[in-house]
Parts: sequence; C-alpha cells; structure tokens
Amino acid sequence: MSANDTPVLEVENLVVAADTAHGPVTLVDDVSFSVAPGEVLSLVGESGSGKSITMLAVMGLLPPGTWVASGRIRFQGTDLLDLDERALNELRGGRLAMVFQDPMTTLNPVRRVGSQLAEGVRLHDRSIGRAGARRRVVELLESVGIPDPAAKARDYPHQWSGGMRQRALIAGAMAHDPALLIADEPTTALDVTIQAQVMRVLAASRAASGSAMILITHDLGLVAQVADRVAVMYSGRIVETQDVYRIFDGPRHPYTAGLLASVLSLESADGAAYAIPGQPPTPAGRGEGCPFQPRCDIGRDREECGARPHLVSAGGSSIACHFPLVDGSLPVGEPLPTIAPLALASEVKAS
Amino acid sequence: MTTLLERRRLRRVPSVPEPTGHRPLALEVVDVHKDFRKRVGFRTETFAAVDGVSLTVEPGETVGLVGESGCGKSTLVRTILGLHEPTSGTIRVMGADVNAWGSRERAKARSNAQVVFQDPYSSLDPRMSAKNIVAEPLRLHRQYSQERVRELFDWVGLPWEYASRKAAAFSGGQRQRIGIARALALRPRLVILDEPVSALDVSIQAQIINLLAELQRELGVSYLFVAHDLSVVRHVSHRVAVMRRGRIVEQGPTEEIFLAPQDDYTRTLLSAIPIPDPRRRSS
Amino acid sequence: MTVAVSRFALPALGRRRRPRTLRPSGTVPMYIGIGLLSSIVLLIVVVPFLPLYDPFGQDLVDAMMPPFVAAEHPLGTDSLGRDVLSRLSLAGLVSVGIAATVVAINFVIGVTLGLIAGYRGGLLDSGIGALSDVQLAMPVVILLIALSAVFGPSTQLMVITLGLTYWVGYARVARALAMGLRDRDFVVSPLTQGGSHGRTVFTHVLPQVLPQMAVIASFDIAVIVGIESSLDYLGLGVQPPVPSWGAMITEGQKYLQINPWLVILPGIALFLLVAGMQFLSQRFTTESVAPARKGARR
Repeated sequence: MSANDTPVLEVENLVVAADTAHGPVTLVDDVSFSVAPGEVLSLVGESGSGKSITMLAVMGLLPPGTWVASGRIRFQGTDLLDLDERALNELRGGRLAMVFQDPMTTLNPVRRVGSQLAEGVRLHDRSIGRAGARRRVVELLESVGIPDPAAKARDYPHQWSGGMRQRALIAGAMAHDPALLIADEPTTALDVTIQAQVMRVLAASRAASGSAMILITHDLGLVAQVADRVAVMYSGRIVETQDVYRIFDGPRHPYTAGLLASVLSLESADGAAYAIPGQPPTPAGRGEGCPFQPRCDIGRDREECGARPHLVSAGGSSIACHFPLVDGSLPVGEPLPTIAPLALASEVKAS
Repeated sequence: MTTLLERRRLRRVPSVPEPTGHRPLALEVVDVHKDFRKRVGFRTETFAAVDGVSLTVEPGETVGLVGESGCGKSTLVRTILGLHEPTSGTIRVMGADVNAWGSRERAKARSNAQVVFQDPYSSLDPRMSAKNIVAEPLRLHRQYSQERVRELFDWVGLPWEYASRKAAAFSGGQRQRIGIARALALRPRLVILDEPVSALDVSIQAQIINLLAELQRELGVSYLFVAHDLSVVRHVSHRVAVMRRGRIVEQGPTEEIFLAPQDDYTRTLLSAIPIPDPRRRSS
Repeated sequence: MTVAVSRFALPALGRRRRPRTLRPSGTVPMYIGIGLLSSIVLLIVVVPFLPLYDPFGQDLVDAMMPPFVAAEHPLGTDSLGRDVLSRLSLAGLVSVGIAATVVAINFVIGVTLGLIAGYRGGLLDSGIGALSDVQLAMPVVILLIALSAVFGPSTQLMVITLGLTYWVGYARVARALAMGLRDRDFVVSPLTQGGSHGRTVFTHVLPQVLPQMAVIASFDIAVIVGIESSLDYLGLGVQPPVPSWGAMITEGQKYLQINPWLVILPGIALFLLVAGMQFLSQRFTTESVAPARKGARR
C-alpha cells in the first residue's frame, strides 16, 4: 500500500454492546477492517452476525440501548467517535452516504419525492437556492434513469415502484460525491430483474464519483458480481477477509466454506444441498472460544478451538481461525482434506 | 353476488382435456381466472389477478412456480386452497373439486391440499405452543392423538422437549419446521409451499430444502413450490412454470426451462440472477 | 446464562459514546396507580368491618359534624346525621359495581360487533358502522331522562341504558385490529385446515385483541363512574337512600357554606379512583399483537 492510499474507512477493534434483561451483551465483538478509496467491500453474514449494527455504529446511528464500548472508527483519518452530533450530521449524506433496505420507510410517505430529495441537496450545499435544488433533483433523477423526471418528482412515494424509489435514494445519496457509500441490503426487497437494474445504476454512479462502497448483503451471487473484497462476519466477529476471487476459489474459514457450499445457485449440483448443521449462537450464549466451534466439522473436537482465535491480518486479508483451510472448498458429503496449522504461520511471515 | 344461474355459466368448458389416467393427479388447475373489482373514482375496474392459468402436478412430483411480485402467484395459491372462489375454471385435488357444491367432496379436496407459508414470523400464532399449533388441524378433524403430534415433530426434526414452548421462542428455521409439521398433519397429498425459504438465512435454507426433499421421498407427497428465487426452484423441482401478469408464459421440465428457455421473459429472469462466481462477471 | 464479554474488551465495558437511554419503563406510574387504587380498595373493603359502620343510621342530634372531630364519625356526618365514612364506603362499592357491570356489557357487545365488522367486512361492516353512528349521535342523558319518565328512575335502568350505548369505543378498536389481523397467515391457516371462520376468530383473533381491549376497559371503569356520578347528581341513577358519590355531591352542594366536606370528600374519592385507573392502565402496553415482518430478513 503506497502512502497515498489512506483508507477511506478504518475500523479498529470495534466493540458494540447492548443492554438486555440479563445485563450488557456484546453484539459486535472486536471487529477490524478497512476500506480503500474506490473499492467495494462486501460485508457478508447471516442474521445475528452483527453486520448491520457495525454499520449503524459507523454512521453514529445506533438504536437506544446500544453503544460503542471501545474501538476506533476512522473515516478519512478522523475518528468518528470523537465527533459530536453536528459534525456527524455534516458528514452524513455528504461525504458519508447511506442507502437502506426498504425505501418505503426511508422516504416520508406524506411528502412528495422531489421535495424530500431537494431537502437533502440543500442540506449539504447552503448556497443552492430552492430553484437550483429542484433543477439538481431533476438532474439526479435523470441520471438514474427515471423517465419524465420533472413530473415524477411531484409524485408521492407510494406512486413509485420499489425499484424507482431505491434508484432515487441512490441518486440522493450520491449527489454529493461521497467518499464512502454504505448500502445495507439495498436490493433485498426487490425482484431480481429490478435488482439487476438498481445494481447497474449503483455501479454507474460509483464510477462517476469514485466512491468506495460497503455492501451489506446475504446474497453471495451479488457479492461475486460486485465486490472487490469480502469480509465475512459470524456471531459478532469477522472470521475472514479476502479478495473476492480468492475467497470464492479457496475460502480459508470453515464457516465461509460452509456458506459457499450451501448456496444454491443455478449451477449447483443436484442432490442434497450442503447444510451447515445447527444454528448460530445468540449474543448472550456466545462462549469464550471460537463461536463457530459447535458447528465446525474441523474444530468441533479440537481443544485449541476452545480458545478464541485471533484475527491475523496480512495485506488486505485476514483470518481468525485455528485451523484455516488450505485447499479450496468443502465438497458435498466428502471428508475434509487434512489441514496444516503451519499454513497460518507462513501466511504471517509472507507479510 | 352471482346467482345460481350465473355460477353455472361461469364454469366454462375448459380447453384442456380431462385426464384419462387412472391415478388422479395431485393437482389439476384448469383455465382458472380470478378477477378482483377495484373502485377507481366513480367507476369499478376489474383486475384479473389470475388470467387463465392451467397446470398439473403428478403424484410425488414437485412443480416449481416462479414469478416476480405482482404476477398473481399468491392469488393463485389462495384460490387453489379454496380461500378465494375462482371467477371461472376448475381446481381439482386428487380428483375432488375444491369448489364442489357437495360439502363432502369439497372438504376432501381442501384437506388434501395444505400450505406452508412464507413468513415464519407471521404464519404461527405467537401465543400458541408448538404442540398446539401442530395439533390444531388434527383437533379440527377430531383426529387428535399425542402420538401423531410426536410423530410429526419427529418427521421434521424438532425435539419433543421444545413442544410446549410458545411459537415466539423459536428461530426462523425452526418455525418453518413447525409450519411443515402442521401442513403434514392431515396427511395431504399436495403441499403448497409459498416461498418457504426466502425469509431464512442461506445456511438454514439448505437445511429446510433437504428436509422437504426427504419428506417427499418418504411420504410420496407432491409439492407446488412457489418462489421468486430461480436457483432454489431449479434445485427442487421436476417441472417448472413461469408466471407473469396472471398468466403462465412457459412451463416444462426443469432442465429444459433453464437450459433452453423459449420465452423472452424467462430469459430475462434467468439472465438477471447474479451468479456466485466472480470470474463470470457480466460487466 | 453466560454473558459474553470479549476478552479483548476493557474489563468493565466503558462507553466511547454516551448512549441514548431507553425510555424509562412503565413501573413508576404503575405504582402510583396501585397506591391510589389501594386507598379506594381499603375504603370499600375494610371500612364495613369497622364497628362504626352504619351508612343508613340517622342521628339528627349529631348532624353536620365536620371530620376529624369525633371518634365514631371520623369523616363527619351529613345533614341527616349519617356517618360519612360509611356512606362513602358503600357508595364506592355501588359505583364500582355499577361501572364494572356497565363496562362488562359494553365490552361484550363492542368486541363482538367490532370483530364481526372488521373480520367480515362488506355489508356487515357497513351495517355495524351505521349502528355505531346512530349510537354516537344519541344523547344518552336525554334518553335516560325520557326512559326514567316512562319506567321510573332506577339503578337497573341506568345500567342497562349505559351498557347498551357506550360500546362504540370498543367496537372501533376491535374492528381496526381485526382488519389488520384477518390476512395474517396464522389466521388464514386454520381456514385451510377445515376450520370455520367463527372458530378462527375466537381462537386466533380474539386473544390478540384482548390485551388492548383490557386497557380500554380499565380506563373506562373510571369514566363510567364519572358518568354515573353525574347522572346521580341529576337524580337519574341510584336512588336514595342508597348512597353514591354523585348523589352525595348533590346532597352536599346544598350545604356548601356550612360543611364543605360533604362535597369535598366524595370528590376526593372519585379523583382517587379515576387517577388510579389512569396510571395503572398505562402499564399495559401493546406488546402482544404479533408483529408483521415484511420482505426478506435482515
């Protein structure tokens, strides 16, 4: 990494806790990752993995009853946790933009779409007047392919389709050329043909502004098509970060391997689908060791896995596992190849 | 409200010939239409949610029904279950007409077609215990026995220790298992699965898919698998029907549909699915 | 249950950022409510066992005594020398008893009609809606006056009249809830298994609706007591010599200059009941209705 490449976002040892009836519980348990300028990092995980809470922490929008217990969140060098609400508000929607899953809840149903977008434009550009903002909104809608934008801007959100609403929100988010766009399951609620359209719009907007993106999703197909790097979360922790090509070819963490194997794609083999047995632990039920151990074919009976694995980073990739896989994916029904723990040591030396 | 005379007229003669096989089909949908009336301003508009759909499901097979939101598949499912009355057309389950005038035939048809819903969080009464949810259909037909409920739990892989817990205490995948157990209670020949795994995590999806396949092998039950996720459908179905705007645009054996789609819409659907292989990027 | 703390976090979970605290739980108002209501309960239940208890005994010699003067009349006496404390107690029993009966009738009528209207929709809904509108337009007091003129004023007449006219609030809420619930999968499911609509409403919709209705009912008891007191004030409800708080206020009004306590004390009792119910009903939040989750999971 050259000196020029200060990461757009650097999360270091983030711990997010929440109040429950049984006392405080960690939802995000010592998470570290970074995003380089212009790259797409996909944060992958299932429900309970903590991926959404991590992003809410980054944006400073944690729900009541949850808080950041420790760690650093550096955005373009500045620690966001040191900023007050005003400074954060400046950032949000401007240099740090976000798009959520359900456009119907993000848009106010009793206000016209155009006026809501115009409000966003004016918030970050004081000099632009009402008329200027209106023109900018029409420009933005046009850039994402909304037909007849001037007339459409006067519609209410319920008159638009889900895909149109998401495209409009993307336009709004990208209006100020953000350094980082956080997209939390932006297409999950959309049909697959609309999803393709929205992702195209997203790619075009990003190309124009050079923004980096964190894409949170559970759809591994989407990840494969869009991401540069992938970070896999399980039970509040990052278990693996890797370049997208390498992670699909040769996942190192058994959970990643299991996840990839259980994806039913258009091309998967017939017969029984591979299913990781069991379920992820609840935040309160997490023990001291590796959270994946009870479900892990490799680590289930190994003593070492009763201790928490450290996250070891080398270059842009990292792995938290005592027995990372060396050679490729988990074949369906076949016994695992033997793994050499030494592989991890050599990985560290290589950096 | 239609008069008796109108109802007779509405049962139009179907263009699809009557089946001649001696084994009754698990499901036979013959030219079904379902219209809804909407009041728009002063006029009343008719909207055809299901616009002439015909399909069949043989005993022991899985037919996948794919379509995007708004195509009418949910309406079709509800019509097959007897929750809506079709505007025209016939629906037969194991040879019995779902809308027959005789209550015995109707009851027979309806109890042979059961459903597993999509949303594990709203398909179970959160205040009822798992045991009672599964037992409810049995109680309704005076067939309740605790052994039968235990057997159902066993079939779907749920530990009996959890039987008394309220539905709200279970995870998504477990709730779907409860839903499947409930659907199997009356030993139906046809189970309609309405997006059974789309609300579940990927790793749990595979578990449920495997369970469904195993149950089909053991019990010989037929499935109508309704989904928008083509990858899942391809994995489980013997035949596939593609639905759009209330009509079936293409149907046939799974491999044919996926490898050589004839209809433009099917092709569009297939090409839109992101392939989980980064080396195969479209851009 | 183990609490998982990352080994790498600080020993005591510190706060990098001040959290937005959760809203304070509803226990404080509840305790206030319980406190207020317990005084009423004491009044109604305990007082009759005291040796001085005699709500009807007149003693013209000791009439119009102020409270806290004599031991055998702790709250004084009224114009006919009857013990105020005893009358207050009996009046409480009468008022609460009437209110509970009225609310029970309202509840049954309202919830039934509301569920039918909401679940079924269509003509039935319109019909019940029309009935509700008629009900709301009706001036209850005038109706009661008219009926009292025909049948003679009595407690039973008031209870029946109020019971048959105040159900609309329950119906409205029940209807809205039923409409929201009727398309839910768990309500539709028994229909596919051969269950009837009636049974489905009873076993699946009603339990979801009851908690919210209970909140309304508990608040309503206080409201009905208030209405009943006003009606007694007009002479339309409880007839003398049976005491009720409203009647006591009516009576005491005449002697405001001489012994204001005859008005103040029943007023305080009313206040304690209404305020107590208010605070208590805040406790029951709507946690019980099954949440609707749209779309795919998170």
